[in-house]
Amino acid sequence: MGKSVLLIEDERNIIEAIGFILSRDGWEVTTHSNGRDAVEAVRTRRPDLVILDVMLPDRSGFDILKDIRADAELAATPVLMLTARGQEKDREMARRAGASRYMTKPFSNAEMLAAVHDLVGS
Amino acid sequence: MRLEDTIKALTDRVSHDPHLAASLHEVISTVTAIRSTASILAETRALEPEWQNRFHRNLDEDSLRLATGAEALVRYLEAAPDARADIKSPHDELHAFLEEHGFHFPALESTGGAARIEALISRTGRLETDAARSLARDLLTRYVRDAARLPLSVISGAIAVHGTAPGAIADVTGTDMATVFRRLAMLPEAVAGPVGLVVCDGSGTLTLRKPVLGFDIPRSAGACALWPLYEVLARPGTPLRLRLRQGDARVLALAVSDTLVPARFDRPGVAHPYMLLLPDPGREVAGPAREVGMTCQLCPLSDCEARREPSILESGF
Repeated sequence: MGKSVLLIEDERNIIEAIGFILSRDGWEVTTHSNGRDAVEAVRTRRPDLVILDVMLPDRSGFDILKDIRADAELAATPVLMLTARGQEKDREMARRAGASRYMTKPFSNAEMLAAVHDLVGS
Repeated sequence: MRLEDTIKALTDRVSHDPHLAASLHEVISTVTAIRSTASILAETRALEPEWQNRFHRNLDEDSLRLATGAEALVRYLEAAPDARADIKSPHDELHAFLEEHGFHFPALESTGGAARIEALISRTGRLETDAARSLARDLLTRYVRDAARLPLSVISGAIAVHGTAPGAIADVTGTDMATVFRRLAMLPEAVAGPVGLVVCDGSGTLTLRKPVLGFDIPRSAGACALWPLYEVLARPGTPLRLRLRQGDARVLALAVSDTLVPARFDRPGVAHPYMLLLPDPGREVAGPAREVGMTCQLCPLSDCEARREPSILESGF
């Protein structure tokens, strides 16, 4: 049975590529591309895994992650954060906000698949 | 300059230059899409023609975006005013030294700490000038004095009861606020959690900066005039406590003024404003957040009455 993943990312071509490789890997993929109601999307879809970009329109990924962690029903959801900035400062903020894992762009498809398998044991 | 130094300088620069960070972000996003898409095209056996067409079209789009973005980045890097990136001031050396030690000195916590100051200074490679060594000597001497007034066991005990609430710690230990601020900021994170600190002198020049929780503090330029640090510079008798929002970062700021020399009719007083940075307790606890910047040149806030020079973010790309 396929596991579900919600991809929260605003770059259309990244969504298409990641969506494609995850679907081929057997995931049921849904996507969401703005920050404003991202938490609402997590609440509705209840995915097994969230992939969350740090830089989204309207709302920062860090704030979205904090809301997910503060919600008793969503708090246990593994969250893989994506960022284009590999600075220590961002790593620290992601760790404090409760990211399960932090991945710096650009990454290879193999790295992405390894990370999601790691977070949601098959 | 060695490659390592160049990368270090660029990394520093990215964290202080949101404009550069934004354009790098654009380039990296595009590279990410290209890398992932290209791998799919190269590695997926029997890719349906419909997908194949779509991914080829995406590659074409993204490669154009990458070319434009990379060109703009090169233009910006060549034009940007950054010749001084690797020139260090004595204060920069002092801060490199403090960062090397995580702002905490176990050797100075116990009695007899004063005798160990010179060893710390001579052992590091970060203090290259006499001026920097002198700054470090002053700071460490004060550290030893602070540790004697408020020993690790005492402040840890107070934190266990009151959390990192400086007012309560000052009350139960009978210590002044500035000492409590310095101690909190220079304890191991395992004891006090993440704590940042900014100190300036009467001219507003930053003399100590310990960034935390993503809150940026400028290295050389003047900081943001909206920081409560500068309000206590103007009104030393009024401590302030409020939440600050700076880009993605949220912190609780507590500002007090430390009087070194009281004013007399024949001479001005000397006071140093302190601003402690703690984790954000949220709006319910500490009220609405004030939106602030780091330094005007690199600040995205438009419509700011306190702005003293235009942001390079507006100069277009």
